[in-house]
Amino acid sequence: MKRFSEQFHKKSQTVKLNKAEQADLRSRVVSYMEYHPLPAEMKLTSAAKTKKASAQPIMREPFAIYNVPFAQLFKFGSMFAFIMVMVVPFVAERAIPGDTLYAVKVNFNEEVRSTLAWSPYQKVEWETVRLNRRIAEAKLLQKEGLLTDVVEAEVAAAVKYHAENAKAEIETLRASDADEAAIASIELDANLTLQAQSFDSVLGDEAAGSTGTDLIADAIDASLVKQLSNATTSLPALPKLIARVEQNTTRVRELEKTLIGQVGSEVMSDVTRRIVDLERVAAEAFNLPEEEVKKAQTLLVDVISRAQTLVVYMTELDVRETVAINTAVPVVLTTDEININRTEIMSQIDTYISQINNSEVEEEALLEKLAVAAQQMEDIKAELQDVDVYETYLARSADALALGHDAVILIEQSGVSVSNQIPAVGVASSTESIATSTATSTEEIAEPSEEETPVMETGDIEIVASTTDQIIEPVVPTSTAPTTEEVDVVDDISSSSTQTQSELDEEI
Amino acid sequence: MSDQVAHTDMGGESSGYEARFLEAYDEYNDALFRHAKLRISNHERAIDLVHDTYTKVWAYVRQGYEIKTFRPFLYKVLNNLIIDEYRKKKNQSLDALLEQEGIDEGSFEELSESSVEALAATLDGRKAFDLLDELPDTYREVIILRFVDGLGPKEMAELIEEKENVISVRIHRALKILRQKIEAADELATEKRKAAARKKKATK
Repeated sequence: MKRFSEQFHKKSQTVKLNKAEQADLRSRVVSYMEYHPLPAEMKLTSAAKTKKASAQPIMREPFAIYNVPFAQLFKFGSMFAFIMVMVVPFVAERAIPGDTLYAVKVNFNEEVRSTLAWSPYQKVEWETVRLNRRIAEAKLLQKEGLLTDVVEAEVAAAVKYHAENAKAEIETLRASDADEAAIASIELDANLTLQAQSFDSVLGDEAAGSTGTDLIADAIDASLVKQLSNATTSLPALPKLIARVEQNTTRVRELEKTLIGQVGSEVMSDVTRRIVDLERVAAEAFNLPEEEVKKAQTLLVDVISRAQTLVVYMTELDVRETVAINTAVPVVLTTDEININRTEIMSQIDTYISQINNSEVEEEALLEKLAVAAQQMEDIKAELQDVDVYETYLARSADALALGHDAVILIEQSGVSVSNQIPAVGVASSTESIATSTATSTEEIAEPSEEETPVMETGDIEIVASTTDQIIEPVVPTSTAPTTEEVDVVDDISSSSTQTQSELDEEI
Repeated sequence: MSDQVAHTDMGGESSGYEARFLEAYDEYNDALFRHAKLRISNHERAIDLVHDTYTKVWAYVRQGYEIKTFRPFLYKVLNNLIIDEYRKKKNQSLDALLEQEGIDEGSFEELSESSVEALAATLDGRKAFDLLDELPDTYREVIILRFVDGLGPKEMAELIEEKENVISVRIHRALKILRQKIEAADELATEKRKAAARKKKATK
């Protein structure tokens, strides 16, 4: 069979295409392939497999064709894009100045988020957040001793930049909605004020000679001063204010929930007290008659300012650590609490008058002085009966208390013991309770037990003085930052007490 | 575009699929042409069938199918094209022809490979090849696949979609027919020679 196969096969090999036919057939097949090329995705996958073949392209046509591995490029590009868009920004959020990813945080993350803020109001809010971020970063660096001069200058520049941006947005907003602009301005002002307080506190803790955070503090102060000077004198419309107050109170309530478990019970009760204050003042403003629109607006502006301060206080850990809540958002006393304070102050004045009248001083000159002092105190006491404004009440009563205090010292200096028949006063404990507790504790304050009343001895004069200070101390103006007028009032109190004493001496 | 340039372009810069396909073309185009030519006995038409075979396979590749071994696939496509060619030529189908020919299971002798070898040993390959055209296509097909293309019984069975036994029977019968035809041709040639000798003698 082998012979047959060989013969048969050999003979069959004579059947074949000639050269021309072979070339023609190949040309036809190749042409068909060119007119019916592979789909793009197949070319890509096969190109990867035949890397060797495509690695050395032969330039035989005017236009060389290079296979670009789009599939692989797409695959790796996708992975790279995912890392760049999702992972890196996420990690960068924790970066602080000096970190490699800090530029991503500031120039990418925050800028992208900026584009998501559509309205000018949202932009102002976001610029405020960015400003707070820069300050928080600076504080963190300072805490760790990493705040170099360069970084400090950068942070100060960033603070200025964001503050300017916020102001520019406010001006843009003012063109379309003056009320919203005014509200945004109030909130920015509150934010800057709190940050300034926080930095003042930080600077206070710094060792003398340290320049750390000076630049930043100056930048905040400069922004604040500019902001206050630019602030509009007209109050926003009541409906806008009401809407914003509703939003802000809702927000602080939400933030309060997030704080549960994160802060101590004391901080929680302080925060809750401030929120209750906000809601109470807002409710008072809402219920004011139409004739008192101006008063309602003033109250609501104050509520917005305090709410913004409280929001920053609750959200910024560094602020909580550096500023006392009573400094940031002072307590707004209820009517009951004010009445109790007034009663206590009146009791103090009575105590002093009683001590003066019951003293066993025999010296004529001193007796005259004491008589004048007692008379003046009686006059002030009578005057106080008609004073409705609590701040005025405090200012006038401070004069009487200072007189009483000086008179008791004079009695002491004459060698005569001060009478211990003093009316019952539970000043220190009750005042403290008022300052820090909620309205419920007021009832406890209103009923001081006579048995617990401290008996004031002659040697207790200093204690009286200190308790008097404690009475005055918690009674602070309702706004978050002391205004110029408020500062003046405080100065008047101190100067009046000084003048009273000097006048008394002169008279004597 | 010349053949050389086309070859380089497609082979050098082409993708893997194209390179493999052209490789398969260069390797099997001659054998496929031979197969087609011997089956249909038409030179030009055989070239066309080979061209059609490759274009069909290329279309298959373009659809994303992966061809691991080109040879059996190319033969399968070509075989189908040849069957189509027969159907065009003849009024009745090839199946009907096969039925008429009454392909049975065959005897034990026909199924034995040794008997095929023994039968083939008695034949002259060159003469058999010359008489190939006289075989019915069913037999010519298996003879070409076996002795020209060098396919084994299993490959042939897969290609033709028949059992290996059927293939063996067909080969056996094809060889028998060839032997008969060779013998007939030999006899005819002997008679012709004798007649020529007698004529020469009578002339003298």
